[in-house]
Amino acid sequence: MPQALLRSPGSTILAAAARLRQRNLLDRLLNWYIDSVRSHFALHGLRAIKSPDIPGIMSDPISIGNSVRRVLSTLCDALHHYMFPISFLYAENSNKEDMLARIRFRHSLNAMIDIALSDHEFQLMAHLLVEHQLAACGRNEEQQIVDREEDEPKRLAFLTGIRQQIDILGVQDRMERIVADVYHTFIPRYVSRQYARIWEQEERQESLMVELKDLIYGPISRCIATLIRRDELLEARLFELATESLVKLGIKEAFDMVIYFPDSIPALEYLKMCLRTQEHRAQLVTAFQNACHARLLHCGANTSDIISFYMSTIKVFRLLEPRGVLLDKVSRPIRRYLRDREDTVKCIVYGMLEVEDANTGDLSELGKELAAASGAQNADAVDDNDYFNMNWVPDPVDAAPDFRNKRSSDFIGSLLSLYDNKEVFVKEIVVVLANRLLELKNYEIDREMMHLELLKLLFGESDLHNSDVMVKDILESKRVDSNIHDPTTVAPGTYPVAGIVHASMLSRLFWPAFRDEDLVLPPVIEEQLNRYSAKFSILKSARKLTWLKRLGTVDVTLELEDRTLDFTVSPDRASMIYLFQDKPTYTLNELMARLNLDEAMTRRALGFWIKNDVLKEDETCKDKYILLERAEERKKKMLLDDAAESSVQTAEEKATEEMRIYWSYVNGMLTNIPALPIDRIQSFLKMLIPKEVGYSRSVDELRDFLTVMVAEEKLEFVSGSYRLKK
Amino acid sequence: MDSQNTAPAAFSSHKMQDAPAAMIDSHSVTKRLQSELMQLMMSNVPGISAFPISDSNLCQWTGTISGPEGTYYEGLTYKISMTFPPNYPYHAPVIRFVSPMWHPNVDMSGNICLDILKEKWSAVYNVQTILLSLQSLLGEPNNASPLNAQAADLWDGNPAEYKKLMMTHYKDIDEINDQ
Repeated sequence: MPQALLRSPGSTILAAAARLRQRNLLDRLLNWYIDSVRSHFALHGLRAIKSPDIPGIMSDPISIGNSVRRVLSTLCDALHHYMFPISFLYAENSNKEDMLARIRFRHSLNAMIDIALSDHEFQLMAHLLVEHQLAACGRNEEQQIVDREEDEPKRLAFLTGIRQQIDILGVQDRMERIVADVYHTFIPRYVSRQYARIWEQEERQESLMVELKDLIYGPISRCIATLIRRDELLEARLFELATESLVKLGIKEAFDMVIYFPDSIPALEYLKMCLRTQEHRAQLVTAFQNACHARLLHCGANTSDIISFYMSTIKVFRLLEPRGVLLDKVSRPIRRYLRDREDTVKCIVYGMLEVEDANTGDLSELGKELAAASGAQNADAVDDNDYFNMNWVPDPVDAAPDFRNKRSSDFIGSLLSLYDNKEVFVKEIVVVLANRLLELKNYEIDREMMHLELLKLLFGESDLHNSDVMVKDILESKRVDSNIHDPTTVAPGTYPVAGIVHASMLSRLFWPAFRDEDLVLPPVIEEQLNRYSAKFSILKSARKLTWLKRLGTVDVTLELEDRTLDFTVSPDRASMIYLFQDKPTYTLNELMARLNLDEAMTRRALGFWIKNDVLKEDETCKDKYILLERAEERKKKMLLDDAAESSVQTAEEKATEEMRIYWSYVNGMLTNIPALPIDRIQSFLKMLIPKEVGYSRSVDELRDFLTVMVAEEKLEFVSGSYRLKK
Repeated sequence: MDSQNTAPAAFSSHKMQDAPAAMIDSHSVTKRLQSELMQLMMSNVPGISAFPISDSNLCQWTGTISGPEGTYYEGLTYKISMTFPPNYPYHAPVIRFVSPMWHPNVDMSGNICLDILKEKWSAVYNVQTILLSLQSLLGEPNNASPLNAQAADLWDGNPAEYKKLMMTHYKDIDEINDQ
């Protein structure tokens, strides 16, 4: 309805209006008019706004912008149209009643416009329009500033148009609300899109702030100020919002920064600068803990990975906050989880002793740390009882009640404090050390001695006393062995021992328990061992060697028809392959009988030779094995990589033994008391198992154990209680 | 009474009531019972079992005994209660059948007539030996001094009637646990 079509009323109409005014009936006319305007608007105006030819919210930014403008201009036209008669009825700048009447009419119009603009689709379009405008100010995905110089005036002109319509319609408030809504979501999103995972370059962190400031004080502020009333605090508020978003981004990315440490140091420095409020600290802790639970502390992660992540966490949070309060908080779930893992101790000990093992992963960093840490003991410890320390500050208010300023920058100390006593580590160290010493071929124990000395600094002399004896045994063995091989000492009537046989004499009481199964060695070797024993008895009168035939290593050279292979293997494997020298096929049972091995060991040894393509299982006959004189086409065999097998009773086996004891208690308990909840079982075990055996499992460990028993159908779990399965 | 049944701390009644002595005693009793439990749990003899009924008081146990093979009681399981005196093992524990028990040497309220629990008690006995004695008592009653004369009469006289009467009194252990 173009304005030109509106015609001024004729004189009769004006006279009629004047008459009504005299009789005070003008109000009724106005009421009638408002009613007709309402029904007219509802009939025609709303339809014009919602007409189907308006492109939907899914279209491109330009058509959305045009649609918004079109809706607004339709409303503007309607407003003009409806206001027109009023200007004749009530002159401007007239008396008070006329003013009030005009205002009344305007109010009812405003209400109609408001209803029209509340339309959901229009709201969305307006939001999108503003968002597109803001997005046009920043960088897009290609990291280019979209807003070229010549574009900006065009966009601003467009916005000015909208601004004018808004002013006419008197809906600035509504627009302000939309704009505020948009920038509150837009800026965090923009920041996290543009600056996510940028941690490395130091300058980047600096320039980032400058860039953001330029953007906010420049194009964005111009754009917003065109659209709504200007507010002096606008830029400051926007900038605050942006920095806040950056901190939030840093908090969200803390987990990744730990993974990429030390490459992420610049970003961490920046995060440290921004972490000022308690709220941020709390957010950081929660976000980090959640990320840990979701991404790290589950059974899919290797223990060694968790440990090395923990070490990075220590470094990162020490950097963020040297006091260690945050570290204390974030590391609690990790520590709790590590405590529950079975192979944690093993991984740590392997790491410290720099043992390479496929299952425990590479934690040799720990070994280096061990060497480094021993030099600088307690260098940075803060003693709270040092009353002369003028730089003392209290712990931050968010410190946990049981927070202790541990020297948590030292990983070894943190890892050792995972468990209440160091006993578990000492046990494992002795086992690992024993294995290592037994694997030695030339009595070279320098490396082990160095490790042992370092470990002594950590655990104290007394706990590792046994290991001292072990090392000394090897040293002594070296001497005795060279004596035995000395040709000048051959007694008349005896044969010299072949140079290939070397033995270690172990003081049984000081070594961990050995598996005491026997093994049948090839007669040639037995003969050599007997000579060795005889010579030993001469050297050390009244002492006799007891051979542990399962221990040690054998260098084997296999000369087959088409190839020669060298291996270093355990005695049982060597003895097995020696048997094949006489006859090319054996059955499993024959092998077990000839070697005096149990089935599991035999199969494992067979697996080794099969994997190395020396033996194969007969395809026609199960459990029959053939020597491969000629190498066959290598088949893809999915044989499990056999874990380095320990000849010493491992800590794990000890745990199994303990569990056997606990099971007989649980069994006895439930035989006599029909059903018990887990808490009662736990307190029974705690109370009733004598101290010498000891019960130190947590409820969770017990629950795991009972769950296994339920799975084995020994127990059943009924309404919160465990009972024996009948 | 054997000399080994005398407590080393001069065994007289007024001294036993001294508070400090009682405390020391209760500690050593706990220890003794703990190790007896360990022994019992580890030996794992089929057909007998016992366990403290609460973790706070080790002097009150409950046990189960299965009837030995080839006796009237084969395949049946009985629940017993064991109460250890504060001066255990110098005094015998009090043992009662909780399950209704029809047997020449057991009365209707579960009291047992067994010499090693009375005048022939010795400190070398322990929970496991008591349980084994009770189990063998089921197969070899002492019919000379019966608490249940009818049972003693029928034991040799009328096995079918014995079995019938015994079964009318028997209650399954689950029923007893549910009570």
